[in-house]
Amino acid sequence: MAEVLAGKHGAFVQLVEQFQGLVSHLVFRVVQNQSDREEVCQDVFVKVHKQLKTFQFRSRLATWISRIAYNTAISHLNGRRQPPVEYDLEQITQESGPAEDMREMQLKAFIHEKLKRLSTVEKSVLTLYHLEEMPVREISQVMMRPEGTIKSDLFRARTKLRKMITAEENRCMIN
Amino acid sequence: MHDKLIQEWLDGATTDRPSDADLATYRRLYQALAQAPEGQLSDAFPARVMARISAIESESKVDQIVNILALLAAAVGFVLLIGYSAQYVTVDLASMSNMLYSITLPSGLVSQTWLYTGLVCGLIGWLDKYIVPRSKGRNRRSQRGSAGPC
Repeated sequence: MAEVLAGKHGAFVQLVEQFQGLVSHLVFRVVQNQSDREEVCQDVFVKVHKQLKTFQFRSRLATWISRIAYNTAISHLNGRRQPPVEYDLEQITQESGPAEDMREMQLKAFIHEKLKRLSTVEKSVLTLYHLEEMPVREISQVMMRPEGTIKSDLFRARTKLRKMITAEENRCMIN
Repeated sequence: MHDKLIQEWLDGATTDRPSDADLATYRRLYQALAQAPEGQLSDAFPARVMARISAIESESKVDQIVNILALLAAAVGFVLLIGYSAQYVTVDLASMSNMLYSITLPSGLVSQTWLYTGLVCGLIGWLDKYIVPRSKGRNRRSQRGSAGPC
Protein backbone atom coordinates (compact mmCIF):
# COMPACT_ATOMS: atom_id res chain seq x y z
CA MET A 1 0.00 0.00 0.00
CA ALA A 2 2.82 2.40 0.87
CA GLU A 3 4.49 1.55 -2.43
CA VAL A 4 1.26 2.25 -4.29
CA LEU A 5 0.91 5.61 -2.53
CA ALA A 6 4.53 6.37 -3.40
CA GLY A 7 3.55 6.01 -7.04
CA LYS A 8 5.41 2.77 -7.73
CA HIS A 9 4.15 1.46 -11.05
CA GLY A 10 4.41 -2.26 -10.27
CA ALA A 11 2.68 -1.90 -6.92
CA PHE A 12 -0.53 -0.63 -8.49
CA VAL A 13 -0.47 -3.49 -11.01
CA GLN A 14 -0.36 -5.87 -8.05
CA LEU A 15 -3.29 -4.04 -6.48
CA VAL A 16 -5.27 -4.40 -9.73
CA GLU A 17 -4.47 -8.11 -9.89
CA GLN A 18 -5.46 -8.56 -6.26
CA PHE A 19 -8.82 -6.81 -6.51
CA GLN A 20 -9.88 -7.37 -10.11
CA GLY A 21 -11.87 -10.43 -9.05
CA LEU A 22 -13.84 -8.49 -6.46
CA VAL A 23 -14.48 -5.61 -8.86
CA SER A 24 -15.44 -7.83 -11.77
CA HIS A 25 -17.85 -9.90 -9.64
CA LEU A 26 -19.71 -6.80 -8.54
CA VAL A 27 -19.64 -5.05 -11.92
CA PHE A 28 -20.55 -8.18 -13.88
CA ARG A 29 -23.58 -8.73 -11.67
CA VAL A 30 -24.81 -5.15 -12.01
CA VAL A 31 -23.87 -4.33 -15.62
CA GLN A 32 -25.60 -6.70 -18.02
CA ASN A 33 -24.10 -5.34 -21.23
CA GLN A 34 -21.02 -7.50 -21.83
CA SER A 35 -19.26 -4.97 -24.04
CA ASP A 36 -19.36 -2.37 -21.26
CA ARG A 37 -18.27 -4.58 -18.39
CA GLU A 38 -14.50 -4.44 -18.86
CA GLU A 39 -14.60 -0.71 -19.49
CA VAL A 40 -16.54 -0.15 -16.28
CA CYS A 41 -13.99 -2.28 -14.40
CA GLN A 42 -11.21 -0.16 -15.90
CA ASP A 43 -13.07 2.98 -14.80
CA VAL A 44 -13.16 1.59 -11.27
CA PHE A 45 -9.38 1.13 -11.10
CA VAL A 46 -8.73 4.50 -12.72
CA LYS A 47 -10.86 6.06 -9.97
CA VAL A 48 -9.08 3.98 -7.33
CA HIS A 49 -5.73 5.25 -8.63
CA LYS A 50 -6.97 8.82 -8.65
CA GLN A 51 -8.55 8.72 -5.19
CA LEU A 52 -6.02 6.50 -3.45
CA LYS A 53 -4.43 9.49 -1.73
CA THR A 54 -7.78 10.21 -0.05
CA PHE A 55 -8.04 6.68 1.40
CA GLN A 56 -7.86 7.17 5.15
CA PHE A 57 -7.58 3.54 6.31
CA ARG A 58 -10.87 3.84 8.20
CA SER A 59 -12.13 0.73 6.45
CA ARG A 60 -10.60 -2.25 4.70
CA LEU A 61 -9.17 -1.49 1.27
CA ALA A 62 -11.51 -4.14 -0.17
CA THR A 63 -14.52 -2.31 1.29
CA TRP A 64 -13.33 1.00 -0.10
CA ILE A 65 -12.70 -0.45 -3.57
CA SER A 66 -16.08 -2.23 -3.48
CA ARG A 67 -17.76 1.09 -2.78
CA ILE A 68 -16.05 2.70 -5.77
CA ALA A 69 -17.00 -0.30 -7.93
CA TYR A 70 -20.62 -0.19 -6.79
CA ASN A 71 -20.93 3.57 -7.36
CA THR A 72 -19.24 3.34 -10.76
CA ALA A 73 -21.56 0.56 -11.86
CA ILE A 74 -24.61 2.51 -10.67
CA SER A 75 -23.37 5.66 -12.46
CA HIS A 76 -22.90 3.60 -15.61
CA LEU A 77 -26.46 2.31 -15.40
CA ASN A 78 -27.81 5.82 -14.74
CA GLY A 79 -25.80 7.19 -17.64
CA ARG A 80 -27.18 4.51 -19.89
CA ARG A 81 -30.70 5.36 -18.71
CA GLN A 82 -31.49 1.69 -18.31
CA PRO A 83 -34.82 1.18 -16.60
CA PRO A 84 -34.44 -0.61 -13.26
CA VAL A 85 -35.38 -4.25 -13.55
CA GLU A 86 -38.48 -4.87 -11.51
CA TYR A 87 -39.08 -8.26 -10.08
CA ASP A 88 -42.26 -9.90 -11.21
CA LEU A 89 -42.79 -13.43 -9.92
CA GLU A 90 -45.87 -13.96 -12.06
CA GLN A 91 -43.95 -13.19 -15.22
CA ILE A 92 -40.97 -15.30 -14.19
CA THR A 93 -42.95 -18.38 -13.24
CA GLN A 94 -44.91 -18.25 -16.47
CA GLU A 95 -41.74 -18.03 -18.56
CA SER A 96 -40.50 -21.22 -20.12
CA GLY A 97 -37.39 -22.28 -18.24
CA PRO A 98 -35.14 -25.21 -19.00
CA ALA A 99 -37.28 -28.05 -20.30
CA GLU A 100 -35.11 -30.82 -18.90
CA ASP A 101 -34.90 -31.94 -15.27
CA MET A 102 -33.47 -29.58 -12.74
CA ARG A 103 -30.03 -31.02 -12.33
CA GLU A 104 -27.47 -29.22 -10.23
CA MET A 105 -25.68 -27.50 -13.08
CA GLN A 106 -28.87 -26.47 -14.72
CA LEU A 107 -30.23 -25.23 -11.42
CA LYS A 108 -27.17 -23.06 -10.90
CA ALA A 109 -27.48 -21.68 -14.42
CA PHE A 110 -31.16 -21.09 -13.74
CA ILE A 111 -30.38 -19.21 -10.53
CA HIS A 112 -27.74 -17.09 -12.25
CA GLU A 113 -30.22 -16.28 -14.97
CA LYS A 114 -32.88 -15.31 -12.46
CA LEU A 115 -30.37 -13.23 -10.51
CA LYS A 116 -30.32 -10.85 -13.45
CA ARG A 117 -33.96 -10.10 -12.79
CA LEU A 118 -33.33 -8.82 -9.29
CA SER A 119 -32.79 -5.15 -8.59
CA THR A 120 -29.29 -3.68 -8.66
CA VAL A 121 -29.27 -3.35 -4.89
CA GLU A 122 -30.34 -6.98 -4.38
CA LYS A 123 -27.76 -8.30 -6.85
CA SER A 124 -25.03 -6.26 -5.19
CA VAL A 125 -25.98 -7.33 -1.68
CA LEU A 126 -26.08 -11.01 -2.67
CA THR A 127 -22.72 -10.77 -4.46
CA LEU A 128 -20.96 -9.04 -1.60
CA TYR A 129 -22.43 -11.32 1.05
CA HIS A 130 -22.29 -14.74 -0.60
CA LEU A 131 -19.47 -14.42 -3.12
CA GLU A 132 -17.14 -11.98 -1.39
CA GLU A 133 -18.17 -13.17 2.09
CA MET A 134 -18.34 -9.59 3.28
CA PRO A 135 -20.04 -8.99 6.63
CA VAL A 136 -23.28 -6.99 6.69
CA ARG A 137 -21.53 -4.09 8.46
CA GLU A 138 -19.07 -3.69 5.58
CA ILE A 139 -21.79 -4.09 2.95
CA SER A 140 -23.65 -1.23 4.59
CA GLN A 141 -20.47 0.87 4.25
CA VAL A 142 -20.12 -0.07 0.59
CA MET A 143 -23.72 0.64 -0.30
CA MET A 144 -24.32 3.51 2.14
CA ARG A 145 -27.41 1.81 3.53
CA PRO A 146 -28.19 0.94 7.16
CA GLU A 147 -27.27 -2.57 8.32
CA GLY A 148 -30.94 -3.36 9.01
CA THR A 149 -31.83 -2.44 5.43
CA ILE A 150 -29.03 -4.63 4.09
CA LYS A 151 -30.34 -7.57 6.14
CA SER A 152 -33.87 -7.10 4.81
CA ASP A 153 -32.48 -6.70 1.25
CA LEU A 154 -30.66 -10.00 1.68
CA PHE A 155 -33.72 -11.76 3.07
CA ARG A 156 -36.03 -10.39 0.36
CA ALA A 157 -33.64 -11.25 -2.49
CA ARG A 158 -33.05 -14.81 -1.29
CA THR A 159 -36.74 -15.40 -0.68
CA LYS A 160 -37.54 -14.23 -4.21
CA LEU A 161 -34.95 -16.62 -5.65
CA ARG A 162 -36.19 -19.47 -3.47
CA LYS A 163 -39.72 -18.90 -4.73
CA MET A 164 -38.50 -18.90 -8.31
CA ILE A 165 -36.64 -22.18 -7.78
CA THR A 166 -39.63 -23.79 -6.07
CA ALA A 167 -41.94 -22.64 -8.86
CA GLU A 168 -39.55 -24.01 -11.47
CA GLU A 169 -39.16 -27.32 -9.63
CA ASN A 170 -42.94 -27.67 -9.37
CA ARG A 171 -43.30 -26.85 -13.05
CA CYS A 172 -40.74 -29.53 -13.96
CA MET A 173 -42.44 -32.09 -11.74
CA ILE A 174 -45.81 -31.42 -13.41
CA ASN A 175 -44.25 -31.72 -16.85
CA MET B 1 -41.76 -17.16 8.41
CA HIS B 2 -39.97 -20.40 7.57
CA ASP B 3 -37.86 -18.57 4.95
CA LYS B 4 -36.51 -16.33 7.67
CA LEU B 5 -35.75 -19.25 9.99
CA ILE B 6 -33.93 -21.22 7.30
CA GLN B 7 -31.90 -18.22 6.18
CA GLU B 8 -30.95 -17.38 9.74
CA TRP B 9 -29.84 -20.97 10.35
CA LEU B 10 -27.79 -21.07 7.14
CA ASP B 11 -26.23 -17.69 8.01
CA GLY B 12 -25.33 -19.04 11.44
CA ALA B 13 -27.59 -16.57 13.23
CA THR B 14 -29.50 -19.33 15.02
CA THR B 15 -28.73 -22.86 16.19
CA ASP B 16 -32.30 -24.19 15.79
CA ARG B 17 -32.08 -26.45 12.77
CA PRO B 18 -35.17 -25.96 10.62
CA SER B 19 -36.96 -29.09 9.47
CA ASP B 20 -38.31 -27.85 6.23
CA ALA B 21 -38.32 -29.14 2.69
CA ASP B 22 -37.14 -25.70 1.54
CA LEU B 23 -33.85 -26.23 3.34
CA ALA B 24 -32.47 -28.28 0.43
CA THR B 25 -33.57 -25.60 -2.00
CA TYR B 26 -31.87 -22.96 0.08
CA ARG B 27 -28.67 -25.01 0.24
CA ARG B 28 -28.56 -25.14 -3.55
CA LEU B 29 -29.37 -21.44 -3.72
CA TYR B 30 -26.50 -20.58 -1.36
CA GLN B 31 -24.11 -22.76 -3.38
CA ALA B 32 -25.14 -21.01 -6.59
CA LEU B 33 -24.81 -17.58 -5.04
CA ALA B 34 -21.27 -18.37 -3.94
CA GLN B 35 -20.28 -18.84 -7.58
CA ALA B 36 -18.83 -16.03 -9.64
CA PRO B 37 -20.95 -14.56 -12.42
CA GLU B 38 -20.35 -15.62 -16.00
CA GLY B 39 -17.49 -14.09 -17.90
CA GLN B 40 -14.11 -12.86 -16.82
CA LEU B 41 -11.74 -10.06 -17.46
CA SER B 42 -9.10 -10.48 -20.13
CA ASP B 43 -5.54 -11.40 -19.16
CA ALA B 44 -4.40 -8.01 -20.39
CA PHE B 45 -6.75 -6.22 -18.02
CA PRO B 46 -4.07 -4.88 -15.59
CA ALA B 47 -1.95 -3.70 -18.52
CA ARG B 48 -4.96 -1.93 -20.04
CA VAL B 49 -5.72 -0.22 -16.74
CA MET B 50 -2.12 0.95 -16.45
CA ALA B 51 -2.17 2.19 -20.06
CA ARG B 52 -5.28 4.25 -19.32
CA ILE B 53 -3.75 5.66 -16.14
CA SER B 54 -0.53 6.54 -17.99
CA ALA B 55 -2.54 8.26 -20.73
CA ILE B 56 -4.49 10.27 -18.15
CA GLU B 57 -1.30 11.22 -16.30
CA SER B 58 0.46 12.33 -19.49
CA GLU B 59 -2.65 14.31 -20.45
CA SER B 60 -2.60 16.07 -17.11
CA LYS B 61 1.14 16.80 -17.52
CA VAL B 62 0.47 18.31 -20.96
CA ASP B 63 -2.34 20.35 -19.38
CA GLN B 64 0.06 21.59 -16.70
CA ILE B 65 2.66 22.59 -19.31
CA VAL B 66 0.00 24.36 -21.38
CA ASN B 67 -1.19 26.20 -18.27
CA ILE B 68 2.36 27.33 -17.41
CA LEU B 69 2.96 28.47 -21.01
CA ALA B 70 -0.35 30.35 -21.00
CA LEU B 71 0.61 32.04 -17.74
CA LEU B 72 4.04 33.02 -19.13
CA ALA B 73 2.46 34.34 -22.33
CA ALA B 74 0.01 36.39 -20.27
CA ALA B 75 2.83 37.81 -18.12
CA VAL B 76 4.98 38.72 -21.16
CA GLY B 77 1.95 40.21 -22.88
CA PHE B 78 1.17 42.27 -19.78
CA VAL B 79 4.72 43.64 -19.55
CA LEU B 80 4.77 44.52 -23.26
CA LEU B 81 1.38 46.17 -22.99
CA ILE B 82 2.48 48.25 -19.98
CA GLY B 83 5.69 49.36 -21.78
CA TYR B 84 3.74 50.32 -24.88
CA SER B 85 0.98 52.15 -23.03
CA ALA B 86 3.45 53.96 -20.68
CA GLN B 87 4.39 56.35 -23.52
CA TYR B 88 0.81 57.49 -23.80
CA VAL B 89 0.40 57.70 -20.03
CA THR B 90 3.37 60.11 -19.66
CA VAL B 91 1.96 62.24 -22.45
CA ASP B 92 -1.36 62.28 -20.68
CA LEU B 93 0.28 63.22 -17.34
CA ALA B 94 2.11 66.10 -19.02
CA SER B 95 -1.06 67.37 -20.59
CA MET B 96 -2.83 67.08 -17.20
CA SER B 97 -0.14 69.19 -15.43
CA ASN B 98 -0.48 71.82 -18.14
CA MET B 99 -4.19 71.87 -17.48
CA LEU B 100 -3.57 72.34 -13.73
CA TYR B 101 -1.18 75.25 -14.38
CA SER B 102 -3.72 76.92 -16.51
CA ILE B 103 -6.25 76.93 -13.68
CA THR B 104 -6.46 80.39 -11.99
CA LEU B 105 -7.10 80.08 -8.27
CA PRO B 106 -8.87 82.83 -6.29
CA SER B 107 -6.40 85.12 -4.40
CA GLY B 108 -8.06 84.40 -0.99
CA LEU B 109 -7.48 80.69 -1.32
CA VAL B 110 -3.83 81.15 -2.20
CA SER B 111 -3.14 83.48 0.77
CA GLN B 112 -4.98 81.13 3.17
CA THR B 113 -2.93 78.17 1.90
CA TRP B 114 0.32 80.07 2.54
CA LEU B 115 -0.91 81.19 5.97
CA TYR B 116 -1.84 77.70 7.15
CA THR B 117 1.35 76.23 5.73
CA GLY B 118 3.34 78.82 7.66
CA LEU B 119 1.43 78.11 10.88
CA VAL B 120 2.01 74.36 10.58
CA CYS B 121 5.71 74.90 9.93
CA GLY B 122 5.93 77.26 12.92
CA LEU B 123 4.19 74.76 15.17
CA ILE B 124 6.55 71.99 14.12
CA GLY B 125 9.54 74.29 14.73
CA TRP B 126 8.29 75.28 18.23
CA LEU B 127 7.70 71.65 19.11
CA ASP B 128 11.16 70.78 17.86
CA LYS B 129 12.82 73.61 19.83
CA TYR B 130 11.05 73.44 23.21
CA ILE B 131 9.22 70.17 23.69
CA VAL B 132 11.70 67.65 22.32
CA PRO B 133 14.81 68.95 24.28
CA ARG B 134 12.84 68.88 27.56
CA SER B 135 11.74 65.29 27.07
CA LYS B 136 15.32 64.34 26.16
CA GLY B 137 16.60 65.93 29.41
CA ARG B 138 13.93 64.05 31.41
CA ASN B 139 15.02 60.83 29.80
CA ARG B 140 18.65 61.49 30.72
CA ARG B 141 17.71 62.16 34.37
CA SER B 142 15.65 59.06 34.59
CA GLN B 143 18.50 57.04 33.09
CA ARG B 144 20.89 58.48 35.69
CA GLY B 145 18.45 57.73 38.50
CA SER B 146 18.09 54.15 37.47
CA ALA B 147 21.83 53.71 37.35
CA GLY B 148 22.05 53.40 41.16
CA PRO B 149 23.64 55.36 44.08
CA CYS B 150 27.15 55.36 42.62
